[in-house]
Amino acid sequence: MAIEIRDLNVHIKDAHILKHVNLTIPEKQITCIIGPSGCGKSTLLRTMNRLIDSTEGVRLEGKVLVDGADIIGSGAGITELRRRIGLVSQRPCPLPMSIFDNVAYGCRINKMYKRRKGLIYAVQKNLKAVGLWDEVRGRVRTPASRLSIGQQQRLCLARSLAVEPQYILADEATSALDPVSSKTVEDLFVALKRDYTIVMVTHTLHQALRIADNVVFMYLGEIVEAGPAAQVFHNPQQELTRNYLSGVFS
Amino acid sequence: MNVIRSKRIEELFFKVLMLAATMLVFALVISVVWTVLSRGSRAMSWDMITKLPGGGFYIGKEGGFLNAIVGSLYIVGASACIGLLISVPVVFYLNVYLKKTSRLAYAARLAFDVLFGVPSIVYGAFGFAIMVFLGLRTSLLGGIIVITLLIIPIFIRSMDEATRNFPHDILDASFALGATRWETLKVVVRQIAPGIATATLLSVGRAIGDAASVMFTAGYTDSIPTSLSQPAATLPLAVFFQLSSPVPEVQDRAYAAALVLTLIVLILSIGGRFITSRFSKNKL
Repeated sequence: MAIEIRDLNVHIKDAHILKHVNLTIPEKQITCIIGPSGCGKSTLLRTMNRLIDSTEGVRLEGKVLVDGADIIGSGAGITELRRRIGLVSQRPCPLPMSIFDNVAYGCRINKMYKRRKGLIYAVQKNLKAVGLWDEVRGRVRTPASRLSIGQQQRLCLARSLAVEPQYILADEATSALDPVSSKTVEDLFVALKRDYTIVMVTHTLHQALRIADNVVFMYLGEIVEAGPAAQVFHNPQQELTRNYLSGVFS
Repeated sequence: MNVIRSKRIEELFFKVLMLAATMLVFALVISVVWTVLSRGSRAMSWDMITKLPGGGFYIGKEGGFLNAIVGSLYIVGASACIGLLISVPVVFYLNVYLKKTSRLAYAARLAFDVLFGVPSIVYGAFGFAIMVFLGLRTSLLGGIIVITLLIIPIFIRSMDEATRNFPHDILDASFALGATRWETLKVVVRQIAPGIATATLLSVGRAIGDAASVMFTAGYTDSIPTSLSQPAATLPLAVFFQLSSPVPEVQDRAYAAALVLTLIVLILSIGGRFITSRFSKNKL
């Protein structure tokens, strides 16, 4: 039991965005959150690393247990929490610095390596892990903004991995990418689940079908159905899920 | 066919109009530079920029206006430093800490816009009132205070403009790695530093040319000030006083001072552009 959410309610100003969410996210598997736009998928994801805090007028109720510790209401541990939970967002957002510095950034602020050698090794390792090393070796000092969009997204993933998180949250991480890059990133996630617990918000059902171990279907801020992928896709219990999967609405 | 023809004529008409307007601006720039250059070069000499006004300088005898060059640089240099110390935190607070919909940010921006629009003579009068209140006489300090007041809204507005549309995803990306607000601020600086540098140089270029605000506050003198309480000459006032002279040689010297002023502004503008292109390579 890696992340456990108990009776979570999220209000943003007057809107009740997440309603009584109860969810368990199992360790070292890929959990895909699906549902129509505006159903609260991203809000749920952003609650798990408290990035939701930067939204204006937000109010959280309930419990989100990460490794047994409630992260709601504990102000002090937020930066440490975020280090343990990596985030890959929809559009790649490299920091305004070189490729090397992008990956090294998290390590530096978290003071992970005393020696430069360790840092260089870590950058290399993580660029290799996302399959970017062969493409950028020899130009790691050039600005990250010069990479293609697909490469930037993998760089962002490498940057997240560099701070040695336990969890990776991906918010439609492939939706801005071309099909080839999208496939590369998708395959990466599958490879990474050996070591990481992955929570992914996705818009494409096919993607969820391909890579999910568990599926969570949300609608209007509520979890309609959650369970192993095979069960949710092939034998949905709820009428709403069946309709969504068969394309009655999207 | 007629429709296509009339569309073509319409297109051509507006194209010519836009081209003409652009050319007009070019012509304006060239004629200003030409006037300053042609009349200024008659009086321009090494003495002009290296010597203080001698006795009888203002009736066409020997000397230069080094006093005004140094005075202007003193005042603008000090004001720019103080102005930056005040403006940069304001711009960061507005753009990084406050939310986009914040009422305080709205009110602050409105206030800066109002200050930006206040004519410089009003700053001069305001500065003069403060000096009377504090018992100061026309001095370098008075000039610095007023030019600082003048330059702050220009700084804030142009920096705000350069900072406002920086991608906010950067904040999330940095926070998600476990960075604090302060650490994230350093990333933001990298993104917006070129914009800030350019804004600074352009604002300084505007402030150095202002005559109205320093007239009653910095005063005018033929010597270089050695303390904050002494009056200081400035280039815009050097132009003003010499241009009011009936002696043609002295009038030409006004153009020489204008030439120096223009050159300083030109160097600042080119410097601004250079910094933007040189240091924005990492910018997104």
